[in-house]
Amino acid sequence: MTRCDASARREPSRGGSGYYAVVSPPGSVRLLRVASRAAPAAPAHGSEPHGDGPSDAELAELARAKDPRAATLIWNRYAELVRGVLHRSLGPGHEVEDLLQDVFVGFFRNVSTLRDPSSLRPFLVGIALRTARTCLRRRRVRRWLRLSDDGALPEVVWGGDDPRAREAVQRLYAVLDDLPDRERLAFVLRHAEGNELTETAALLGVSLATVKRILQRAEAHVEARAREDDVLRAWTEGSDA
Amino acid sequence: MRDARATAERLGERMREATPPTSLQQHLEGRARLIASVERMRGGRARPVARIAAGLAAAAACALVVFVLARRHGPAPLAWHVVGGGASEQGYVSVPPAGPAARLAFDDGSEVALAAGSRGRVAATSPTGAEIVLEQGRARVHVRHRPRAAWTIDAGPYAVHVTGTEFLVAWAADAEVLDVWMHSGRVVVTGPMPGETLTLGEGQHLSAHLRDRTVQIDASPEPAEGAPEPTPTAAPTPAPAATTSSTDESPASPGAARSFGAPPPSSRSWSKLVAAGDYARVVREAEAEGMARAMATRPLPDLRALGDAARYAGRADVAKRAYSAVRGRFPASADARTAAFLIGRVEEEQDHAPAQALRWYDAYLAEAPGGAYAGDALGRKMIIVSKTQGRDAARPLADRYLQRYSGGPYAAAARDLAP
Repeated sequence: MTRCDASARREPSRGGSGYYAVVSPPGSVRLLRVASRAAPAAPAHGSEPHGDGPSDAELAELARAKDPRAATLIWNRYAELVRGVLHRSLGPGHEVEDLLQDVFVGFFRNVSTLRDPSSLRPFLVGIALRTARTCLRRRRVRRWLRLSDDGALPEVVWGGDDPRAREAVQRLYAVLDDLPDRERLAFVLRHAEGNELTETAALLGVSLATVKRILQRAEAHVEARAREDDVLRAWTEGSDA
Repeated sequence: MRDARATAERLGERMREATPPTSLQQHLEGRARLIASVERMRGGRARPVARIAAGLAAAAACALVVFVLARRHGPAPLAWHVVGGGASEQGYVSVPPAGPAARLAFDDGSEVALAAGSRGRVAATSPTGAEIVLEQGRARVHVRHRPRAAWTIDAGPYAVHVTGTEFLVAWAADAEVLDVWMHSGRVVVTGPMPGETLTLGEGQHLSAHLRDRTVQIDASPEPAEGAPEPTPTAAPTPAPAATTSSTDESPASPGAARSFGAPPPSSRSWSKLVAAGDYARVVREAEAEGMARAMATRPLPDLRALGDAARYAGRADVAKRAYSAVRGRFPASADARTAAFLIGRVEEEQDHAPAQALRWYDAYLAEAPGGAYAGDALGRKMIIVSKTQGRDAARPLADRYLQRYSGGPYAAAARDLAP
């Protein structure tokens, strides 16, 4: 089973009592904020990298010093962010837990190359993007070689119990599948992860002008396809809510 | 082009909403896997580099083979067994309420004794420690001190990190209260509390209440064997005792909790004061400065801290004002959306104004349908509607809650409404 296998194993959930809604309880304004422009996906067990806790720079130093607490603290803070980036970059058809491990192990393996310790978040997201990109490339090759089907739904369910939302998610990712990887990731970083243009450009390693061009193409493509798709159009406009 | 951007933004929001939620189980298992991987990496790197740098190609190849094999087989994870009970294949141990304690004995000499009525499991082991999940009840932990020992006891969203120590830990899952009584050594506790991490030393007792996010450290003695589990009635008032700073490695001195009365004028930021649990001082400083001026001129982190401090200190008027200032002055920030939810909580809990609370929860859900508190907002709305308008009116909300947050904290109440 490869890391990018759509049918990757998923452990059954035992006794998870749903702390994702209370781990950042009322009173905490430390959201897992990707950027100021958009609200993020619900952070499960993470907390915002600012305010009361150790700073990112301190966490990076702990990791460099091989402090045994580093893995726990960095995981607690960033697992949800990275999981979200992987989920939304790859879409349904991917179990991301193994990839998530790859990202964090990659981080600990390469943390000595992190020049600015306060850049821990973009460093991690950068690793996540490279991982996602590799995965997308492999998936394309596998499809081309017909080594896998065209994306049967795994156990992970997107869109909850709403069949229209699930269908819409499938169609949206079919649209994104037609985009070059860089455009797809730019679209996800900007619109699903809520990064500012400058952050999106930095994360993709391109200039601001380039990221604007990339996004313009991606947005036009998605808009055109969404307009001619009833399910996607209804989902976009919220008429299924 | 504007249409294309608007469509993209709406789709981005939909993508966030549709993303599958993560369970606590996934979070803990992922963390345990990572800790084990990092441990293996540390072990691997400790091997002599000189082996790889050996001169001749043949020797290098041999060294490489040895290195690969050594990494693959590496130091074995700690073995363990249960004395006075049994464990399932997944490492799950449940002690009957009337039964004797079950002792988890690890081959490095460390022990974790689960008291009667407790349940937990060994989530992972590494050559230098283990991750143990205490699902309910009490565990007496004795970790033998060794170089690089790394043990973690998970209790709900909290984690107690240990290198070598003895302590008693209790997790009341229903009340969501963590208690740690230190006997010797030192531990680091992480979790949703001011400061995220704090260090406990010998003789100290910590009580962390998840629901109101308060923490108290004092020198309370351990409960007697067989004493009842901690209950939520023991919740501290919103003026908790000392917490160490987030990166402070030196444990606070044992003894009585720190008094926050009559502090000297502070040059510390309000966020830091809130992190230290000194809520009253933040409110006092705002009043001394002039509340109107503070609301109009303080930067976002200060307003956020003031809102939190006032809420913890029971000053609903100041809390609402501060959160409203966040919304008024920083409308594009994520904190502005969060403030809507928090005002709702203040209205509901402190001002007992359910209609006002509903209005704010609705505002939050409209502004941040995939936000961090969307589940809480929907859950609270469901509870309020059930109380004020009846079960029938709350049923659609319960359905909606279960569709999106089937494992959430309000799931039981939702199932009760929409069986």
